Amino acid sequence: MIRVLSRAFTTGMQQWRIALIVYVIQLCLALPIGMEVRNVLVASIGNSLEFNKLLGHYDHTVFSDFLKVHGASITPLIGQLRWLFLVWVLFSVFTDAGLLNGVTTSGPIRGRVFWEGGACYFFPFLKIGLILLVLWLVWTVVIFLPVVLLVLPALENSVTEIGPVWTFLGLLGLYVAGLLFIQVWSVVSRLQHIRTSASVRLSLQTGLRILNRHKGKLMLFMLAFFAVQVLLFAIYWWLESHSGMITPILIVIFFAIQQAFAFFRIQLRQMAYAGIALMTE
Amino acid sequence: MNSRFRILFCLFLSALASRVAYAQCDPVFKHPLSQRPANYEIHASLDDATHSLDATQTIRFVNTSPVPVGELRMYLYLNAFKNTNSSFLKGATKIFGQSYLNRPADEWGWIDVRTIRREGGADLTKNMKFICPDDWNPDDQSVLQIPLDRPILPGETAVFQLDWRAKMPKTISRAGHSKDFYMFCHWFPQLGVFEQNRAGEWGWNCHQFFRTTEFYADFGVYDVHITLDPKFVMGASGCLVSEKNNDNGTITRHYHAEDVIDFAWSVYPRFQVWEDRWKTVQIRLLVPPEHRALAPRYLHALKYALSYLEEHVGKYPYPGITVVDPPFHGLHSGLMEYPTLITVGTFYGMPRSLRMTESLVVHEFVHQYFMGMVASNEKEEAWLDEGFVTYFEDRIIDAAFGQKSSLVDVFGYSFDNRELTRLEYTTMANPREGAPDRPGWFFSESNFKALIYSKPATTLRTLQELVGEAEMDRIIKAYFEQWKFRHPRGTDFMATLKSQLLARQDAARAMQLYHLVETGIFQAVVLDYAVTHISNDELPAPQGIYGKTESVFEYQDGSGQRTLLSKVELQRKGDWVFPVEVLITFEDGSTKLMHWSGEEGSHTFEFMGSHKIVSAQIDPGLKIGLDVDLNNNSMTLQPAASPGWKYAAKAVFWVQNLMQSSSFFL
Repeated sequence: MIRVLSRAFTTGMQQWRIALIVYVIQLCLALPIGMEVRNVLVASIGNSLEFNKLLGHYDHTVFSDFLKVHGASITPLIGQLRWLFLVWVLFSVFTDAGLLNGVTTSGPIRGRVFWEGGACYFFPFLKIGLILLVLWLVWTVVIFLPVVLLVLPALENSVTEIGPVWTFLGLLGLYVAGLLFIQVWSVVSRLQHIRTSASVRLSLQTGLRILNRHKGKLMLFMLAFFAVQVLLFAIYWWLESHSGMITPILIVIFFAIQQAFAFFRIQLRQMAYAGIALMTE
Repeated sequence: MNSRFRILFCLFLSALASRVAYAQCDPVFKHPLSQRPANYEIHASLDDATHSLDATQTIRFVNTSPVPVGELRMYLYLNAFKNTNSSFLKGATKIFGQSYLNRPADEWGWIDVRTIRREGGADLTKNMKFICPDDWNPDDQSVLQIPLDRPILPGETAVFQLDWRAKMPKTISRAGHSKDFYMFCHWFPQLGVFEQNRAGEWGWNCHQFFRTTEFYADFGVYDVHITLDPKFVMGASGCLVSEKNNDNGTITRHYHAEDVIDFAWSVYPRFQVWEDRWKTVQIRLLVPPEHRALAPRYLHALKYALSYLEEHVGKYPYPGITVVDPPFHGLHSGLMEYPTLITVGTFYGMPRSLRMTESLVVHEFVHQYFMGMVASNEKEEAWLDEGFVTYFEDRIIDAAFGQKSSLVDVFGYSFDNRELTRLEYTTMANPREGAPDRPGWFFSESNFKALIYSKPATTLRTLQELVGEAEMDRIIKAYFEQWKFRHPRGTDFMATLKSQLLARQDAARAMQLYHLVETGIFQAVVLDYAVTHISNDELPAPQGIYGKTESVFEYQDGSGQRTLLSKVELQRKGDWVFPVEVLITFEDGSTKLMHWSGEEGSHTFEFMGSHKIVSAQIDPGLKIGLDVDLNNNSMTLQPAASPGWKYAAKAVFWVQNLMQSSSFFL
């Protein structure tokens, strides 16, 4: 496992160009939203002295008064986000295909590997993704329907709320484990498709077989990467709540930290793919 | 020491200990604190199997009015839960989010007065009848009228013996049981208040029970004897005087409370009892085991409130306070106040950074002052207790835990109690829906919190900001001292307010402040001021012939120094007129503080000078929280760029994270 982690880390670091391409695409999609948020705020309350308070800290009064009076101005933003999400979902199939193609290619990695992979495997990966998305929805219903039907009523009927609370947390843990399983199956299936050019159905079947054979290692591996991301989030959140973007210099510094974080998350995904590819060779 | 003496000594010590235990809460006042017109002795037995009470009750009513009393009127509020035709339940399918439909027969509640006799007089049982003076609903049985055989003369004391039985419902609106947890509130036949109405006529103030009204009763002494299974841990108003084990395995607990307007109690076998003390006040906290980690938080907040209110309002005179934290399945009994007993509510694992636990216990405790001692009519003028309580809740919580983060402080997302109170009012869809000063049954469930709690509290807070905390404390203390253990009306508070303001402010300012509060409580107008425009226009330098007579004519060629004509335009967007300060800041850093009466709908300040105006701010001290939009109170010609970029950066970051996370699923 240590060897796999180490090689995965190295692969991720070496393929930084591919990660950079994905990052740039992501940034290009996110930037207009950020600018729109700024424009809406500035147009609505930018000339108010209250606006300055937002530099120092979150101000509930300023935001609430803004939403009450100018709430309609963020409706177009919500619409934009919906379209962005749809566009990104399609893009992410493409970018994932590029990333996976990168981790299965030996030798020097250029951006061409990414684009070729994305173009070549977009449609098969879209099919795999949609099938597993349906599975994810089914899994969500399987877990949360009992929550709604049994756990929530149990809150009112149990002697204490401790049982329902821990049951819910347990179900949540199970849900996350299920999500990780589906994600690993997705990755393994796609890797199989790249390696063997098998059909989507066969890739899924083989992927499941391989996953079952190595499920302990693979699940642990994915859990580790998931935990690292949660940890990084917590560190960032703590840093921002303690220090905060309270001066122009700190805004720039934190923006840089944010973007480094966003870039590193892509690299983490690459590392995860590389590790899975190594474990399923 | 010989053995006999040792035995006697040990007996003496144990007797002394039990006396000390009871003496820790001494319920008897040396002198009455109130007139005590309504006194109760109740002997009740709880049958847990049927969730019912059998009771005998003695009411000693003292006619403290100057007119004869020809009838009694009593609250039988448990009948509000008897069926869906009661005025309380009519028209609703849920109470506090809890559906009460499809209940089996044994989950409904009622109270039945079987007999009532007057001591030394007639059996009045046949005279009893239900009345519905508020909504003429013939099915409502929450008010009982008993015409008397002969009137009770002024100064006379009449004693009545009642025999009644009650069935506790599965909890609806606080009263009732949930599994083996019980909350007994408005559980016994209780007299209304015999008083003068606004027209000066004497009569019973005894309203029916509605969803948006609470309670109103008179002061007196309560001796309550409850017989029940000893498995139940009990908390009640007043002090525990004695406990007696009965031959049939039950236990009878005797509680005594003086100068209170009500008596409530709660039982649950799983309660853990935390006892503490603040000066002479015994604190008794009953929590279910799963909430024991939260007990220190309750105690800390309660003691802080005791200390704060003693300093800023007046002394808490009662010997004890009981706090009941219901189990989660009984949470519908939580969040309520009764004299010397409050119910709160929390959740297993409630994080420290969410201070609803503390906020609730403080809110309910402040009701001991406003409702418990200053016993205003919660039905007709609910703002008079809820407004004051919410105002002090904000002050106490913000003082204890810091402004801007006292209520919620989670990873940089924070706000305080006062902000939340203001926003509950200012974010109403229609703040002009109605004035706070209306009877409770005129409010809907969607607007009563904003108009009864938040708007009056924000009005009081605005007054405090304008006069200063020390002056506000003087006003409140004067009101409290004058009206404790009495029944003030809103007009009584306003009279105290006016006299206090006039005593310490100049007359014009005093009346401005008085009208601010009057408008906030008795009218439904909205306060909203805005700076709408700032301009700085360069006027050409003087050109032409200047001088009075030809002999002193001087020609200016227009090459001299230009002058700036700077303007600030203000608008009163709301219909509430209140004079405001306006701070004008110039580019050289100098400032001018102007005043605007607000009477016209708009106003322009003009300045001639050599420095531009860079900003203008109405109410620079941010004292007028009643303004529904604080963002438009100011304008600057030098807007800061950084906040916009900060939130742009945050938005980009979180959208990127959303995109990354969504990739996980496809």
